[in-house]
Amino acid sequence: MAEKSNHWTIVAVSDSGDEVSIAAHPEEKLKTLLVKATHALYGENAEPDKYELLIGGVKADNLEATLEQAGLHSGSEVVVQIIDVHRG
Amino acid sequence: MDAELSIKLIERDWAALAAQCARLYLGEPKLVDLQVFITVVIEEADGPFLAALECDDYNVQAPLLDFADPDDPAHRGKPYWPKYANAPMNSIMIGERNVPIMCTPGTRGYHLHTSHAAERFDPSTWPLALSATLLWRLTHEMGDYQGRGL
Repeated sequence: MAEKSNHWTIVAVSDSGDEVSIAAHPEEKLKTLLVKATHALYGENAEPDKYELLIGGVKADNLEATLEQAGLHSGSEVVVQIIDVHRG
Repeated sequence: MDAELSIKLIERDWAALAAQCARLYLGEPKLVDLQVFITVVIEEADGPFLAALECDDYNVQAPLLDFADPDDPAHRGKPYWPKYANAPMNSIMIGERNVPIMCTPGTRGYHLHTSHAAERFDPSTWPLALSATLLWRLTHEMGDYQGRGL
């Protein structure tokens, strides 16, 4: 029986549709994924606190959840976008 | 800019748009001439909405986001928009049309509006996929849904 791999790849996508692959662990928290994805997509100076994570078209509110608890699996896609878009 | 070049640029950016629509649970985009139609389902609404992205001169200028009558997409404008409490709505005149706009960077209305006409943005600001994300923002992050029509 094949052993379950703990070396996951999550596909993080920007608001413009740019994609990057992020190495992750199933026990990692969503907030860690958000930090890695924000920097990979928007640059090292981007502040992860100002970004949000969308999973399955829904904003992830509990960033303390692990990737596994959030229903992600290796190959899953998440969208990362800035919270406050300029309006008006 | 000729239409043929715009079509080539739309085709170049199409896969990213289709993927973003799928991720955000929007309808599959459909291209008709230089217009992209995306069905938007809002849980609280009495039926689907049809977003219409007018992509003439793409990507020298941003797509123009409007909503159309799902039964007759030639009809556009205020009656076909979903109304959200906190959406930054405004309007501009394009030719003889009074077009409702969501005043957010990446939509043509924002960039044409007199308040922002002096701002300079690169065409990389408005790839087609961004329009899908903005549709998601409109329907998920701009307050309570208040009905059909502005």
